[in-house]
Amino acid sequence: MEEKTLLHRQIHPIFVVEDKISVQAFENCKYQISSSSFAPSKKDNDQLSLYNGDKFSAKESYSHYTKEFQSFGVLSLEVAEVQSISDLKVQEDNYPYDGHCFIDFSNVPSGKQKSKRAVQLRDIAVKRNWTFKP
Amino acid sequence: MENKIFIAPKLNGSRFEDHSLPLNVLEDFNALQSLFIEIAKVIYLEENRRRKRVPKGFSEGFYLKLVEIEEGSAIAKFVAAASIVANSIQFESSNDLNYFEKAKEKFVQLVESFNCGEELGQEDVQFLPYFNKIGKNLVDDESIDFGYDHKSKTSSKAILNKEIRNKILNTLDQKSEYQKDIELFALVPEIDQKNNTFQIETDLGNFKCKIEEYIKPAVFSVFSNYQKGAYILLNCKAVFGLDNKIKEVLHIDSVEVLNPLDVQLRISNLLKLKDKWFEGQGKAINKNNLEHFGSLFKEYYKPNLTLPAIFPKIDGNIQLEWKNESKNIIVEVELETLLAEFLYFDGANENDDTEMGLNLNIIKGWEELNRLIEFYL
Repeated sequence: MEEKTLLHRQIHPIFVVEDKISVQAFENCKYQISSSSFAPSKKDNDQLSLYNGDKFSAKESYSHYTKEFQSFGVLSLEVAEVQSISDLKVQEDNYPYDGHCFIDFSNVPSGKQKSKRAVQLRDIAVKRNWTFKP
Repeated sequence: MENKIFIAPKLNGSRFEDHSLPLNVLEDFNALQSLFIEIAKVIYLEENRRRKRVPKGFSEGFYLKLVEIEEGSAIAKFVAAASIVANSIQFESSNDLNYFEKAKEKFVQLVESFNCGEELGQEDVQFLPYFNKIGKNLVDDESIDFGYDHKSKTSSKAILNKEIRNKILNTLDQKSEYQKDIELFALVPEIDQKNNTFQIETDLGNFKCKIEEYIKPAVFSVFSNYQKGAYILLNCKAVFGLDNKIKEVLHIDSVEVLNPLDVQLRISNLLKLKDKWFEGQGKAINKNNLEHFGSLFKEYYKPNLTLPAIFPKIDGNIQLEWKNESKNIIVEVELETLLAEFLYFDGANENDDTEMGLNLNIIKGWEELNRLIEFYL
């Protein structure tokens, strides 16, 4: 895994809404993605799961994930982008499958700060645009 | 709880002469209670057309209590007991009992109309199935005067006996459907230009509708964005079967292309989530709680403010998000209590953030939310 390695996050369809920004219906539509897509839940032990881009392309990660779960599409972040945000670290554990990695939120001091970091991650990923959408 | 008599039907017949009620006749009143609730809901929605659903706790709080059986055949006096709904904004519950009073009047009118041979309104057909149970246990010499005035001791024409009940049930057999005005959220997957019709896809089924000129632009617009999940809100008249399922959309009054952030639409979609919706985790959202939140949002969130995107949380609660350039607002709402956590921060300025609690169970909480949205966005 290197600084430019892309990390792929699957986005659940319910975390995506269209955001109409023009009075001309749907001509200038963008999507609003929930920051929850980039926040670990309490059950995740502060770990946000991602696919290692060295082992999965965005499309491959989508195919792997959707064997079991729903995904609207894939948004991605570079390792360097994640690690430029304070208190976040990328870890590669290859569990429960080879190519699994996660962003470790355990050093983020509070719930408020976790929400902020989740928004930052989302905004970086959204700026890149979808790396895969069926 | 007031001890005001809600209804005092007079039961005539040899079984009632000792001013007592056999247990099986009391079962009929159980069905009557259910019918009052159903009619009250219909009346509420007719009088509050902005609302799609009755308020939280509307029907759960209502039940009939038998408090006395007066002499002179059996005059069964019932009070309407209403439990106080403590966790909703007060004004919502204060008028609820009026709807049940109106429901009772409607019911009495319905029975009277059968006695007088009057024509049944289309909208009343939906109430007839309840007579499968109401009056079921009456025998030949028995009747119930539902409009009896126990104060003036005056009889009414709202008398249910075996003959009238059979008349009602025969009418039910003949009328297998009824019409009702409804609102539907719909996708448009198909247009048939040759036959000038279009298909709508709704939670209640798929139906073919006629394309009228006045709805054409909206229908075509939404059709071309079907893959993006574009919705319309249809106001229409539909035909329902007695199973309360839509059989046909008769006529469309209006169509509105919906903002994808439309709160009622979003609520409708969030309610489709089942348990384990996210990677085997995730709790389905409680329908009553979410719809109650939706009613309050519609009532108190200022219409000129930017709509939030509403997302579910894995614990069964919701999160509202607003974004304007680098400014972000997140409001996490616990649906059971309507207590919320408000968080604002500017992504471009590390030190520009605010965090506070809000109580969306009170009007002041909504006023504060409106003020914060206006201020920070």
